Formats: sequence, C-alpha cells, structure tokens
Amino acid sequence: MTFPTIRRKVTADMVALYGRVNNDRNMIHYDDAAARAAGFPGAVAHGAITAAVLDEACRAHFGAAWSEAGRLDVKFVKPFFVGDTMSTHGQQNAPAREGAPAVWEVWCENGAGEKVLVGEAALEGSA
Amino acid sequence: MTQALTYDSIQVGRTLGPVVHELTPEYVRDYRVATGADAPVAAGVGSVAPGTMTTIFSTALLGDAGVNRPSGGIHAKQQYRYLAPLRVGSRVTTTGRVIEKFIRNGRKTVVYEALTVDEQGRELARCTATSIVPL
Repeated sequence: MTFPTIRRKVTADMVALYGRVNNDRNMIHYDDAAARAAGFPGAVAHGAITAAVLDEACRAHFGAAWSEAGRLDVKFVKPFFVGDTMSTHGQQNAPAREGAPAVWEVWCENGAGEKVLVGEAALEGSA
Repeated sequence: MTQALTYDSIQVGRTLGPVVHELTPEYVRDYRVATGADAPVAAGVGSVAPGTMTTIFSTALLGDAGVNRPSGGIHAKQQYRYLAPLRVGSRVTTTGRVIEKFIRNGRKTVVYEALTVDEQGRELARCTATSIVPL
C-alpha cells in the first residue's frame, strides 16, 4: 500500500486566509520585506498548512477511522515559503512489536525536494 | 486576558483556556480553502471537519495574537490524537496545561497539551504543541 502524494502550491491568498482563520498577524507570513527583516528570503507559510495537507493525505490513506483513532506527530524542520509547491510522502515502518499498530514515517517536501516537516502517523488500536 | 504571555510568565502546570470555537460551515470552508483542500470545500452541518483545525484551537490557548500573543512565535512540533470526529455545526471547547518549558540554543520553548471536547463533553482530540516564544 502506497501513501498518497498530494502536491499543492501554497499561495499568498491561502496564507492570508489561514492567518485570518487562525488570527495570526505575524507579518513574516504576509510581507516579503518583513520576512527578509527576520532573516528569511521571502514570506514564510504557516507550518500548520503543511501539517493540514499531510493530515489530508493521512485521511485518504487510513480512511474514515482516521478522524476517531488517528495519531499524527509532526516536527517542522525547515521554513516553507509562500509560492512554493509542497508534496506529501510516507513509508511504512516495521511494527515495534507483534500486534502493534502499523506506523508510517511521513513527511512533506518543498519544491526542491527538501523535507520541511517530518513525523509519523498511525491508526491507534489497529494492527 | 490582556497581559502578554511571555516565557517567564508561563509556569509549568499553568492551566490554559478555555477557548471556544464555533465550527460553522463558513469557518470550516475557509479553513479548507486556506489549506488548499480539493473541491468540494463546502462543509455541511454534521459533516466531518479536518482534525488539524485543532491546531488553531491549541494555538489560541496562548492568547489572542492581536491582543496578548506576541508576534514572532515559532511552531516547532505538534502531536494530534483524534478521538472522535470534529463535526461541522458544533461548538468545541479547548483547555490546556503547560507541561514543560526550557531554553535550548537560546530558544525559549514551551510545551503544552490541549484537550478539545464538544458540547456534551465528549473528548474529540488531544494535542501537544511545542512552541518557541519570542519574549
């Protein structure tokens, strides 16, 4: 079974709307100059957007049970910039013990193929 | 709450919230559009909302960004445990507790857990967030 690959360009409009939904007014997300002043080459997308897309891939992979037994642990390891295209990835690890839930190593890459988010996903209570 | 939440003011064991969110169809639709979900993005009452909306609920525990959450924080890690579907049309309440704080490589880091429940008190999600705070 392969993990769904979702490729998605994260636009300035998406980031602006996410900021309104999340009530986040940090200008590094919306203004290139503010982002450069903070040491970034351009506006930084909310990491939570990449997590949301990964979660979407998990829902597609694990099915309806995901919303009541899913476990997703993520770490944001690299900034992801507005206008870039991300993609979701996953590979199954060997169970920690017999009968343990199948754990998937999951991650998101930017358009250059660099990991921006890493983590693991599992359906708790499944084997 | 109007006082800025700073690293020094956040103590381990401190309770956070509650914060309440109404999962209106419009709110869920906006979240889906903001995260680029494929069509259809319409969210009918009773349908399942994305579980990662709990990111917003847990982040809100640190305060309103425009009032008392200092700008410039960094979201470092997030753990999600889904226990029951988030339903469009419901009202959810999130509470939390600071479980750890530390400074590593000069970064002031706060770890806190959050529990989201519905109107009946049914547990929907447990999250743990690790955030680097700017102050």
